[in-house]
Amino acid sequence: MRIAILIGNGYGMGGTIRTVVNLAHALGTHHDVEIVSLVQQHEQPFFELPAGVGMRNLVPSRSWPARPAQGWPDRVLERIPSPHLPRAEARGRGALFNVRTERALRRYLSATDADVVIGTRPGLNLLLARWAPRSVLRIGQEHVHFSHHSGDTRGAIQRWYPRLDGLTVLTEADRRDYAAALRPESGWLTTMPNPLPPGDYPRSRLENPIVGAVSRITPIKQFPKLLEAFGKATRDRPDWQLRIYGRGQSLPQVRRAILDLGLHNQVALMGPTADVFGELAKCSVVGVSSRAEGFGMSIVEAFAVGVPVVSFDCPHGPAEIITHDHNGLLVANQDVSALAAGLAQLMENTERRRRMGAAARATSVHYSPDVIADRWDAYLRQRITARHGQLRVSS
Amino acid sequence: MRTRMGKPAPPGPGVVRGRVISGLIGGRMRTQVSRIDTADVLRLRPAELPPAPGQLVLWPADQERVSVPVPVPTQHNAGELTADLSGAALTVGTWEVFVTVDGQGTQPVHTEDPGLSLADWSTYLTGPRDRELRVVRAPDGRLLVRMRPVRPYVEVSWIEVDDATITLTGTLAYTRRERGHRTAVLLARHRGTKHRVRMPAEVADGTVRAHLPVTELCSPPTSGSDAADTEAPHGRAPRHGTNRIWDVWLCPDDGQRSLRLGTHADDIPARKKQLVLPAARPSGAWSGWRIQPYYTMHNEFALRVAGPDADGHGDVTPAVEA
Repeated sequence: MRIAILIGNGYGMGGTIRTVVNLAHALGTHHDVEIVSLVQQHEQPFFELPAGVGMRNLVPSRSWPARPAQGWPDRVLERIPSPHLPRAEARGRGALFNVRTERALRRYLSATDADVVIGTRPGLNLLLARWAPRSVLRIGQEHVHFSHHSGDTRGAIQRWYPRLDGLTVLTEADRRDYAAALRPESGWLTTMPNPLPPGDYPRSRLENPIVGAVSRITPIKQFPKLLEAFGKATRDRPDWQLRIYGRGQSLPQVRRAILDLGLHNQVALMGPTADVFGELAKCSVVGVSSRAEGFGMSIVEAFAVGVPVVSFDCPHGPAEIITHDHNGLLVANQDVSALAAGLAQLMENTERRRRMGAAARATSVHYSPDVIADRWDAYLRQRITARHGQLRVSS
Repeated sequence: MRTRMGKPAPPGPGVVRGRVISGLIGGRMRTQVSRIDTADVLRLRPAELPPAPGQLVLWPADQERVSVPVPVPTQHNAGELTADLSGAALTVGTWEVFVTVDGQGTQPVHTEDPGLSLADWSTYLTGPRDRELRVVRAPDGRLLVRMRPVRPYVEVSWIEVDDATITLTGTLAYTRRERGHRTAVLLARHRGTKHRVRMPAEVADGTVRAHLPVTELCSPPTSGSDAADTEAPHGRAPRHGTNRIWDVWLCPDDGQRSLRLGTHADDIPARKKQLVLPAARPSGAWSGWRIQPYYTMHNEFALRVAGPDADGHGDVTPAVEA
């Protein structure tokens, strides 16, 4: 099959683009895969593309410093928010969805020779539902829980998503809520976790007194709570460090919290890394203090290198990945003292860390590219069958 | 026994990342543990040994297409390969590790060891040495050895700051550690002039501890070239009497050369950006002054002193100094 994966900005360094690249890698083993980026923001993508997977760019981004000169009609059109999307999508996301990008996407969809087109965020899924030809299998992918969308986005999802040929969500909790909202036919909606990238992962020796955290530094990740928990856990363990990988809008608050809590000797703001596995493998524990997790990719990545995770039992991903006291610890949601106690338990007990680390590695196999590619393959073939031969490609 | 990749390809020259590697065969040797001990012996514990592993060969990883490999004598013992790198003719830079498989050719060595052991690194600091060898795992798994020249210094491990004092704790690194308690002098050198401030420090069994009374660094220089007491950050015009930068050294009492303070014994590359350190804000006569500890772009310890007439009433960030 020829599969196109639509993404807003394939040049970013966030979790969505990382998982799209991983998905392209997984599906690319058996199919022709192309990533279609609504905008081009740099010369080269931050993440290396899998061999054989191309990146098609529809429009040069306004925020691309080296953007070639654009004609005035395009410059006018790209300042007008998309008229066909809910306000939260059309006005947010760095003006990703505007009249120019919308037209470019519509042209692409009308001419594409792909058999399957997969959207990766609501704006793309909604435009895919409206404009993709019926000869193409149209699959939406949701990375966000239904209740976290704005009211107008939820309304648009309920109106337009049923036109899609299928929808994948990341967790069982998501599947239940989208099912309640959309009441789909059997097989239309499925849970599809993000895959790990292929490769030989390093393996943590679980010997360094380092707690790791990998994420965008945004309010929902609540890093000040992780700092507070780490501070409590290391009151008598000053040799332990906390390394935070990522960047984001909450960085000033995190810097202030480091000083307020007196953790300047123990916390390093490592910045973004392209070698997530190499860095996580230097750690012995990973901490998650989020208010909510769409999936919890960093938990799976920690598991892949054999590092146990201590996490709030927050909605929605952690409880579906972590088995308490087996491959990590799930602590009471938003209870900083419980998070501190969980971290302290694993800092204290090397043997327990090793046992959980081995279990974490075993769990990560469920998210290996081969396993997830097989799940995608079965799902796409089932959706093709459900279309009763109306598609260019047969099952 | 076969390698994990199956039957090796016939030996021949291969091009690896732009370099010609002679005798390259298919497959690779995977190691679970890759370490360099304090005697600069590279210790590898392979997942499984090739049928007849010969010796390890190091190729420059970051040089031109035609480069010269360095073979190192290699021992096999109880499933472990060891290679003494202490006498190996390694130049400064990064080297990629290969293993010869007798009668077949050369294979790259990949490792699943992330290459960082804070405990090993701390131990590695304990003796005199003029070059440092580190194992590094490349993101694609290749085993690398990084060599850099070093000189004795003080590894700063803990910094405490209050309004009157900055307390530093560290260890002597890459130099002899005498047993017992000794006195020493902590020397703050004003960057750009000959102004110096000396403060007492203690060295006990290699552990250094010093208290810096911060107002000592606020005092103006007394005469001569010392009076030019301003230091301009790169790209800025100097302003008289405002910002001063002090580099900090330890002078042992035994006549040895002075040791720079810094933090280098881990893999944090740019402490200047990656750490957040508190500033001292003295009261009384020095109210309004700010003494900001920071790391230079080379991870050396320094202090920036800003008077009340500096921008932001002394509230300056250390983000621009070298």
